[in-house]
Amino acid sequence: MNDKDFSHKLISYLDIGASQISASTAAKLQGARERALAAYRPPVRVLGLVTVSGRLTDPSFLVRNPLFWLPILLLITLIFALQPSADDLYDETGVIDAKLLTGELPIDAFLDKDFATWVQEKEAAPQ
Amino acid sequence: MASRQELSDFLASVERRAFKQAVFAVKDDDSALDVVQDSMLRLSEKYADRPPEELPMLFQRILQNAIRDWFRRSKVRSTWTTLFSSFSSKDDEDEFDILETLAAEQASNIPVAPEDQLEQSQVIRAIEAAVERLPARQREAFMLRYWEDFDVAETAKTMGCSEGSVKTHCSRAVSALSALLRAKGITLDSIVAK
Repeated sequence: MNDKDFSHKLISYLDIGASQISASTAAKLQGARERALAAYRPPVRVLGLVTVSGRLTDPSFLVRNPLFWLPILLLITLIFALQPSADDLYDETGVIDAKLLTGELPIDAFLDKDFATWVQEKEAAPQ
Repeated sequence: MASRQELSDFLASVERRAFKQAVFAVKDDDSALDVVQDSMLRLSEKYADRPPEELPMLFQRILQNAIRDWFRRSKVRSTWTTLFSSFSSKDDEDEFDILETLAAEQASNIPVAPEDQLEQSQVIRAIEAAVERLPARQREAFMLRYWEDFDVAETAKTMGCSEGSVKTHCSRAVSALSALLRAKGITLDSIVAK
């Protein structure tokens, strides 16, 4: 007898064994099947393009599924990351004005320091 | 995509074999029922949008993963219960209620005279015990290839290995089963010929 014949004969006995499981086990298996079928959601079309399981339409599934929250968290993080800082909301002049009024900067803060530097260099240079 | 009725029919057609496969692997009826129930639930929840012809392979893959998960969990549990293991019974496989089997549904075309039925039950028990003793991968390959009637490619895909490995596992499984049954004085030729 070759491997295939042997296996098929053996399988016929395993089939008999499977058909002879106790009534209580068969009932438990039936119960398990019914519970599984209760979780079945008919597939639905989204925008007529994608076929997905109907579970996506179940709000409780959406709440329980971490993958549902991941893009939302990413979006919130992105929004916070791209928020302009407080300093960017004011122009530089306004900031200098405020610092002048509060005395944080000297009164000649607006003077062109480059001009003074140019004059000094001009005077120091040989005629 | 599978309809509810198609899914129901499919699960009804495989549930007993799936239960037996799980029993061969985990060697405990209650745990096997849990494994099968988890597998059915996972198939129904996550793969209802797949075509019906994909269900057998998907289900077997889920079932084998569920069995592996069970072993992982039991390994963790066993670290806590090792100290108490000496108090547990080790002869579970000898517990076999012939009356329960006789009361169950008859789907056999083999003679059902009482002495034949008894002999048949003993042979089935011996075969099941031999299958239980196979190494996990050999048993998985044998079950998928011959019991689920998958071809070599499907079996390889389900097991996540090469087709060559499947052939090797199957060949070794058949040799081991043959040797185990011969050691118990059982030859399938003589039984079937009766």
